[in-house]
Amino acid sequence: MATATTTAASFSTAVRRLCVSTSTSIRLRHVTTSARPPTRLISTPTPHRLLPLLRFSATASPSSTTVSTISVGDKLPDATLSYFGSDGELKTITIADLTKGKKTVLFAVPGAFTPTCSQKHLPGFVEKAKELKAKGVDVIACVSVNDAFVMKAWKEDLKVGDEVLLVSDGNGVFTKALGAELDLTDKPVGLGVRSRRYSLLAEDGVVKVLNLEEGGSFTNSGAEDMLKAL
Amino acid sequence: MASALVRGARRFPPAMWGRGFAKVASGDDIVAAAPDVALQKARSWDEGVSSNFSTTPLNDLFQGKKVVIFGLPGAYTGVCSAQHVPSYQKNIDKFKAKGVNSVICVAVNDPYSMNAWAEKLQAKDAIEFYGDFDGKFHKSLELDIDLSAALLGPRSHRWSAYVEDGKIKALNVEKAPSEFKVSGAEVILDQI
Repeated sequence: MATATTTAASFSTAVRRLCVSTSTSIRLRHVTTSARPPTRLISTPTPHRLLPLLRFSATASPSSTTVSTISVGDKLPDATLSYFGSDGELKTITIADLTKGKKTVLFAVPGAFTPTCSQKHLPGFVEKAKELKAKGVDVIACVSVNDAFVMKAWKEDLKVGDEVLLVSDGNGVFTKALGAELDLTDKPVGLGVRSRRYSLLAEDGVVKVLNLEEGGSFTNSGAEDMLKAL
Repeated sequence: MASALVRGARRFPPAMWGRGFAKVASGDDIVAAAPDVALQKARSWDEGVSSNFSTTPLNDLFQGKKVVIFGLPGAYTGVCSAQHVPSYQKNIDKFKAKGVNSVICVAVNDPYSMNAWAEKLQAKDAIEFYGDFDGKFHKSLELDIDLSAALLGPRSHRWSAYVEDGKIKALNVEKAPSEFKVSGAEVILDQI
């Protein structure tokens, strides 16, 4: 299988062409300089590197857990996630962007368009978003190992507004770094490697509250439990 | 480190993307090329539960049938949604007139995303959608491509094929997944 190590220019061209459609015009905004190697793909001025992306190994099978699972008191590992902004543009954002100097609630679902995720987990946070923000939460984000296109479609399908940011951990890099992978490849459900369900509160990137479920079960990672912990 | 990676990247010219071939070619048996591979029919979770998350072996899809099958990088993405699927939707009657039993769309997505996408495109009547969630089908045919750099992970090239009783009669693979020149319905209609 070919590893897509492309030059910065051809990469952005390829993504742009992949994104262009006649009905919606999606422009990938990026900054490419020949002097500085790292290609910037973000719409915020904060610079960051694309290392996690370029290093991704294309096989779906996860390595044996050499990463210990995240716990309270740990600093969240940095990673690059992607999403579609309200202007329809594909953007990338880092965990640092989401958490630095902020109170951030991050919750993860195994898969878009699957029942618990669609019917209970995400809607729960959308409902409680105002209350969470009233308690000082700056950012509420939902992460899943789905690509940004699917996350956007799921967001529209569930009519989620700006209260909750749906971000894609498309290559599973962040999930892996957290030690929160859920390997469903041998299960016939057809989901591959996903994320365990969890919710966490990070203050300036440090985990203060963590509710990590076993697999995809839904016991304590909902919005109400997070509200109680605040 | 980043600079080293990009220096390394310069060794691989964009022509890495310019591939118009696969492991299989016209005349090969598609089922034999991908033994033990099954696809997941696009379905909602409830349908999955009630069917015990059954998978569909390739044999069931191709044996004794005239099948037009096309693969694309991803559900909900630009060219796939705006051009590729609609091209087959529009021409479904022409395919039936030529004796084609089924038109299948496959992508490296899970079956639930495929299902939601197919319903959004209102294409389920004309086309059967299948998810190659672990990419095994495309890997076996060497039609897989690593789109991690575009934040998509392992995906498939854009391609189309006409398969009669498991034998590939025509195979078209785009040079780059963003292109849509040879894998549309009109091209393969002429090849049937």
